[in-house]
Amino acid sequence: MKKTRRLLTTVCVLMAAFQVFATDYKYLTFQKKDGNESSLPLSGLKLSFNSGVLTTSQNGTKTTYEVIDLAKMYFSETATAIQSVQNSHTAVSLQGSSLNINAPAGTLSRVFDASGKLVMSTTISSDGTPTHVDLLLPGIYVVKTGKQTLKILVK
Amino acid sequence: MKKLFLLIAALIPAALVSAQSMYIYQGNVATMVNADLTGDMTYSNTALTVRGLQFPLSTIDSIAFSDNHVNIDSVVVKYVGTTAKVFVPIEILPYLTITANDAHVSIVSSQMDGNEIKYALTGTSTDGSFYEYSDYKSTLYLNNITLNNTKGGAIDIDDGKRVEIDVPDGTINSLTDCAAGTQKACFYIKGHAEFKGGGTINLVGKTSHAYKSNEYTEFKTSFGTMNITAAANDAMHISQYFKMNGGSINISGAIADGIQVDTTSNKTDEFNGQMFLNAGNVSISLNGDGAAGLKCDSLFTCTGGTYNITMNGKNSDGVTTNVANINDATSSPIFTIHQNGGYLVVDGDKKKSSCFKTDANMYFHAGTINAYPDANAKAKGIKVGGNYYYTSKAKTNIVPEVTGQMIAIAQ
Repeated sequence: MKKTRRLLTTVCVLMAAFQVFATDYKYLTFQKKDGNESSLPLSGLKLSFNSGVLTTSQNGTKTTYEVIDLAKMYFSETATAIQSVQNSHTAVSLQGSSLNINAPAGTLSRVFDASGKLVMSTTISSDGTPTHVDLLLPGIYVVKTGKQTLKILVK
Repeated sequence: MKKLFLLIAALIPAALVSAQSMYIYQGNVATMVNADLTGDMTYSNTALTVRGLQFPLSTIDSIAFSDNHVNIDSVVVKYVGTTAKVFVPIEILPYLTITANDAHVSIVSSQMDGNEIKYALTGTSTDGSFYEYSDYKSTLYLNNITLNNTKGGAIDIDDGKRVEIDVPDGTINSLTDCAAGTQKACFYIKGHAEFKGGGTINLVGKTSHAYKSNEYTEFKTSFGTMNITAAANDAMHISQYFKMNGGSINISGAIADGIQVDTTSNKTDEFNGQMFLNAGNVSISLNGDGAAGLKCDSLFTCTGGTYNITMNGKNSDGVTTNVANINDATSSPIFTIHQNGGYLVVDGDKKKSSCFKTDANMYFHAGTINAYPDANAKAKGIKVGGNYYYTSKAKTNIVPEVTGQMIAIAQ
């Protein structure tokens, strides 16, 4: 009986440990031929194709991509480069090593490097006007804009 | 302890897989892809390539995502009204030819490596059917499926191999075929069928048999219930042998026999023409002239179970076989057989009825036979063509009118 109890405890611990390694994909990431990437949450996501255009729809919001511009898509655990959250009117895109941030005026946007060091902080000055930030050094950055957090890779 | 290790072995891989999956919808077929096995899905101007398979963009209706893990060996067919959707794991898609005309689904497998494909049917169709062909074993899950086919049989499995029919506990499945069709049965299996699971199957056969298998059929101990309420021929027509280790069978409304076992063309087939009733409950009520409740060409072996048979037709028998062996190896079997139909006059000869009839010997080691023949119509309780061997554990109620030589077996 004691042996069985010990074994069951071991099983539970092992299960908990292995669960950590189970991959939990929350995003579908699109990569364009120019290297730019954008991610969308999987929840409620639907794709359709028509006349060379990929339309993504999610919670009533639609986004389109020219298929001719797309290289691939893949599942990812975190969002990379862009996560479109239309309701908050916030969009972040990466072009080369430049970061474009489009968010409501007054939104605080901060960029951290892989070590967690704050490398940039800016407040969006006006609606509809993208704020450009040059990230000269290649590496992984975390962009926090309002309530939205994204991970980006500068090559 | 061994079970515990098996549990661990089963749980650890389950904990490692991701739960997300992708569904590529093309007409009546949806291809299912597990996210963790997908990798890069590449675009050309006209196609999406997933795991080496090209999906022309013009054929994709939509792509959706789900928080579930897909079993890579299981095809799911969902019926709704006069439509059906076939969900196929991408791993086996290249091996399957799928045709879905409205709710009439045909799947032909060319899989060559012998891996077993599982098919799960669910939903309701007012005009639908399922056909499957393979050279290998397969499993068919009946998961609350209701199929009414107005053009032919409801389910036709054409494997020629072992077909496992799993009827999950609590499910109710109903199959009805068309009248005046060309099908052999409402539910036909070309191969050997093994039924398990505690659910229910309801069958109506309007053209011929309600159920037919061209090789053996076995009901496992776990099997639930088969109800047959109509058949234009036999309720169950089985070749090679029928083995019942559990479950219940309720038969009424069949024109011909309740359960008939005949021999296959290959006389060397194992247990050819035999019926084994080891456990369970069988209830049969028939009105057809010349019919039999339980009928087999060769040896009838009963080691347990309960059998209630009522025959209202003329020249009809409750049980008819060549040789019978009744014992209590599983439990003490109980037969209660009413014969109410009397005789049939053919060319001036009276064709009489019996409750229990053998053409050759009958070995009655243990159990009970309650026989109620229509004495006014000269029906017989037990009619034995050969010798009648019995022991003190063999009980008969109503004086059995036994023809043939009665020989007691020493205990």
